[in-house]
Amino acid sequence: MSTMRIPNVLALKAENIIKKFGNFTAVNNVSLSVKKGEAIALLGPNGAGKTTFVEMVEGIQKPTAGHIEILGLTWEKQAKEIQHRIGLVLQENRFLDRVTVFETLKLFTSFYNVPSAKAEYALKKVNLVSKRDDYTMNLSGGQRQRLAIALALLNDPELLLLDEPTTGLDPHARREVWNIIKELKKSGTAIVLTTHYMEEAEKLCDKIYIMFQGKILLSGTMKELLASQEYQSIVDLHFKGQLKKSFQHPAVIRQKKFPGGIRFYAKELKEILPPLMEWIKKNQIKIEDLNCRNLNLDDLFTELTGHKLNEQNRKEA
Amino acid sequence: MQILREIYQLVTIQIKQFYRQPGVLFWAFIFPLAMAWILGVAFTTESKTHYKIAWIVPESIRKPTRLKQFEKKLASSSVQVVWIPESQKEKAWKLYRKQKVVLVMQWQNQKWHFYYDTRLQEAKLLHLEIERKWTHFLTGTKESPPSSVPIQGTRYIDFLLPGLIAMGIMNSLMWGMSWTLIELRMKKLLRRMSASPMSKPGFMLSFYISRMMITAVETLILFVFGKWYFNLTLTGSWLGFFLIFLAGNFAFAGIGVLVASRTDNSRIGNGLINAVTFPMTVASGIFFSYERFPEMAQKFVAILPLTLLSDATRLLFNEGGTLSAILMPATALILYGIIFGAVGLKIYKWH
Repeated sequence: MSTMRIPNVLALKAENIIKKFGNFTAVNNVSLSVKKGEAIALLGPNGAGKTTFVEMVEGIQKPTAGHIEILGLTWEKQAKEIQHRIGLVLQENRFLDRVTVFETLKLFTSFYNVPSAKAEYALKKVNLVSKRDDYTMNLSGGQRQRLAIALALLNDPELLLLDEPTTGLDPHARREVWNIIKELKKSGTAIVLTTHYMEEAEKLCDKIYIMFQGKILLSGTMKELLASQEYQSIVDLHFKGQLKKSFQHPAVIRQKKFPGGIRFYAKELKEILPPLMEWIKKNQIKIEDLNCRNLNLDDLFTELTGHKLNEQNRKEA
Repeated sequence: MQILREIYQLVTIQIKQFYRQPGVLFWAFIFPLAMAWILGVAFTTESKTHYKIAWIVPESIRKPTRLKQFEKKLASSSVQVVWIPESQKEKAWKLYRKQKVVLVMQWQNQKWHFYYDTRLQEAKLLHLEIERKWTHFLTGTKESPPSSVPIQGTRYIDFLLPGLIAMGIMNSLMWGMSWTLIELRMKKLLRRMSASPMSKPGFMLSFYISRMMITAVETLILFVFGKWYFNLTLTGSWLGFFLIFLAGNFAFAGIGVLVASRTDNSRIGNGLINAVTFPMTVASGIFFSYERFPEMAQKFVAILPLTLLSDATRLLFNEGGTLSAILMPATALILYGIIFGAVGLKIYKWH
């Protein structure tokens, strides 16, 4: 198998990808690119089309329309070479029951045609040496996820596809997985990560693609995404009773009422807070709660879709 | 070389998974042995069948000495007589109705009259046997005892065990390979493997090899048990047996791949495997000869993979079958494997 690496080729180039299941369009005209060494996140709730998109990149599903290039190669022409050069962590990682962690890794070294010693290397890399001879069925969720990552590392992939690698993990296990991903990113591996945790996308990725109902709504670096909105700060005021007079000030870009309160959007907190406090005092408003924050991805997502990022996931949970 | 390494790793893992499950070990090794033992002992061990018959005799016979002598003669052939006086003959019918006696005989006008349901083979045969004995008794001539056939392979176990070996091969491949493939898809275990550069034909080949190794042990256990307990021998070609064993495994591996090619539902998988194995187990003459089927059906049954395999195995065990004698069934089995396997692989759902 030829593994000649061509410099300056995009790790991933997806153009106008469409995936339909009957009349349902799961992925609708998605285009994106990932440079070598770059990490991107596909952020969106369950059912946004993230996994379907990633599975098309992984070669598990075929797009209805569009073109995918991985490291300058296509699934139609160079499937085996792509498989040899990418690493993947599927959304659901299951392993053969009565097989040990090491045996599982050794099996995959034969698939990737790498020395068995790579199994030991991967074990160390994901900190699973102590579980080397345990059956995979006896691993915890976090350990299973780390094993899945270890499998993805056996071939030193140039592009790593991680489909919700921390979903269902406790905070400690999640942080462990994050550390591994951070290290991989440092070593120059291009990463495509799907997640519905904004913190994960923010901490691990250079660029974020916000996906909803099969479409990419917005993309860019964290800074670019936040800067795309004219406001940067949000103040939620919860109060008792009725407002006699509304708060009008040049710092307020817009305001929105919600049951029991009102939300103010402003450029900066320091511009809105002093006049707002004065207005509250003057109008003798009985405050129940006052929540001030800088704009975050969750707010942005809500603004774009009318839904909270984790709303659907919570419902499903 | 890479593919050999892959196959070696896959076979190793599959064998390990097999022996790490004690429950599977029971079904694979102990159950066929127990079945061979139970059926072999039940149908092969010599046992005398005892019959009871009722005699209705007129009270006018005061000293039925001759009849008493005949009764003794029958007793030596395991036929027990219940004497009933003519005045109480209702008693005889009562015994017959309750199936306490196989037939009823009435002594009338110096000769025997036989009463029984003429549809019953057992009663019919007993009638002929008693009549023959009565003639010899009257004429005083001696019966010529039958001699047993001076050839091997005529016991039920000689018929059964090669059939069980064939059935073992079928079940091992259908449940061990086909079901495992369905389970792998069902549990989404196949997904990760198939997304790697793993060779797909190599993956299938590894299943064929690992199952064949397990089936070889199963067959060997059955064979050794048959030899030790029932003195069963392979009278034909060992090479022929090896060839038919490989061909049988190959045929059912192909069928197994086709059966497992699409479904990811355990109930459908179960149903599909049963739909293949059950009719063949019944029709292919594993437990009883398929010669009892109508002639038209026999032609169809004879070309079923399990029939080809069990007939060829019996030929080798009991009739001294040569290598050339099993070339035809072996070729047919290999063709089954190629055709079903190719179709199965073509439509195989890897994700």
